[in-house]
Amino acid sequence: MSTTLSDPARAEAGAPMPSRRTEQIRRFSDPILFAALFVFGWQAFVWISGFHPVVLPPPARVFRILANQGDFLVENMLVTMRTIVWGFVIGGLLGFVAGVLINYFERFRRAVYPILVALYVIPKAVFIPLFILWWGVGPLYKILVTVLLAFFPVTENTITGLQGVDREMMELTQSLGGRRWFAFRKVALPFSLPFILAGLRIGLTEAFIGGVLSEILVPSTGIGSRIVEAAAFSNTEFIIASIMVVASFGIAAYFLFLWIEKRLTFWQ
Amino acid sequence: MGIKLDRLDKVFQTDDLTVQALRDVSAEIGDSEFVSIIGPSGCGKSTLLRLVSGLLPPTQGTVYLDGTPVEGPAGNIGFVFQAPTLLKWRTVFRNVMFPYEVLASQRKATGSKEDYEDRARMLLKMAGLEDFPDAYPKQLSGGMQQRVSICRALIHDPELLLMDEPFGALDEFTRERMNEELLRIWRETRKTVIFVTHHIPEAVFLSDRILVMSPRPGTILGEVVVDLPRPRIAEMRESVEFLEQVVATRHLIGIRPGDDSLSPDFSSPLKDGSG
Repeated sequence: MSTTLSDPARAEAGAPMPSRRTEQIRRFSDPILFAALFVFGWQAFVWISGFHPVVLPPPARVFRILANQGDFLVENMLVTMRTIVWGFVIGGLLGFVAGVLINYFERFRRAVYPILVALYVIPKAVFIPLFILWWGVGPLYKILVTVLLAFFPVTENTITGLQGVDREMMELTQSLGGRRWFAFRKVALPFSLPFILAGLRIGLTEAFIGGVLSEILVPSTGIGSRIVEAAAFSNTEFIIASIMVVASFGIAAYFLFLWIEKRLTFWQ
Repeated sequence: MGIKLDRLDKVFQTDDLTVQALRDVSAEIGDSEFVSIIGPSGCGKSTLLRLVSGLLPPTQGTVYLDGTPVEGPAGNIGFVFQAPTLLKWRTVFRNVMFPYEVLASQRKATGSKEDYEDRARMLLKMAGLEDFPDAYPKQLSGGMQQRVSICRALIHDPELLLMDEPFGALDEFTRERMNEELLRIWRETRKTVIFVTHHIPEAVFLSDRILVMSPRPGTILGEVVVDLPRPRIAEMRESVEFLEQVVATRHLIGIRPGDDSLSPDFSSPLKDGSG
């Protein structure tokens, strides 16, 4: 709930009412303050525990890596991002198409559903050796892992969304002689768009998992590979710095998507 | 538009269930007539509307619109449902224009887009919504949303308006006001209206004639010719004549005060006005 100046509960409690401006500043200052607190706690823990820097490096060391080798890390992350974006786009598109076909074509649903459910319940990692065997450890294998992970949430949500389309609105369109394709574009698709976008948002986070995980399993290029290398040298601060880079890109992508989602479903 | 329902049967068949929704339903509805269909829940009222609109085929029998058998959605019908069923991502104006877009996609629109837009503005004005063409549905009250959906049902100037419990979700005060507004719109447009409801006073207030249906399988038990002058005004709801018509309809449905075991001696002070 949003707080307004006339919020009676607050006024009665005698609590000071933050102005709109203060509220806006806090939206950004709160997470920053918490992050600062976290870093301070981390430093304090390093002092108190006396852990060796290999086990737990102090934040300063991690920041030094970010400062000195940030370019290198971002460069590698951008390689990984290519896998993530391709996997997300292909997986999302296939997931959407599969969801639409399953929802509208009974024979298609009957035919593919058992296989899809099987693929869904099997831990996706079991396919990795098979993919490597078939396509080697190049970008194709990584994209396929990512596609496989991004696919299902989109399919699932597309079906859920299309199932919830107002039946009477479809009847109305039909009663005026509207064709199925028209009803799909003008009614069913916008109706289920919030669900589809939510599915894509989950698919996006899955794509991040796929992109990094495929590199960690078979290191060659990308940030995941750099993490594995650093682990071999017990370069803990480098690993933590890499994780921070992945996290930054993940957060940026997530919020960018959320922003687009809000604008596309403005009526929600 | 004149309508003839000729011995309609509708059976729904699923794998393990056969439901006879309608049995031997016959009726004739005249041009510009306002007819209500009343009956308990599950008597096939909504199914009947879907047969008339061509959304569903009858299992047996035929629906004739102006003498032509219905073989599918004809496009010259306006639909109003119990829920406003508006497109939430469209403004009021673009919701009202929706039927035009459907018809245009089939090259069935009679007239230019501008003609329809003029008509949309006229309808919104008639429904008291001229100040809200750019509002989104969620910004409107339930009653206003339902008025938008009535405008939408009239935008393509259909000859027949099918209304499926359109005010069922509204509170009593809003419902009465909407009844009056609907009659005003009907007076100005002279559509044939089939109005499904299970609210007896509403049916009496609105209709020329009330068809009473029985529970499943739905058959027509009889009809009440509402013998009240037009235009109907709010005050009429309190007249003896109005109440007599309500009682007559109740009796035809089978609701009689004598059936109430709590008040066995209660008898209606009003004479039975049926027949």
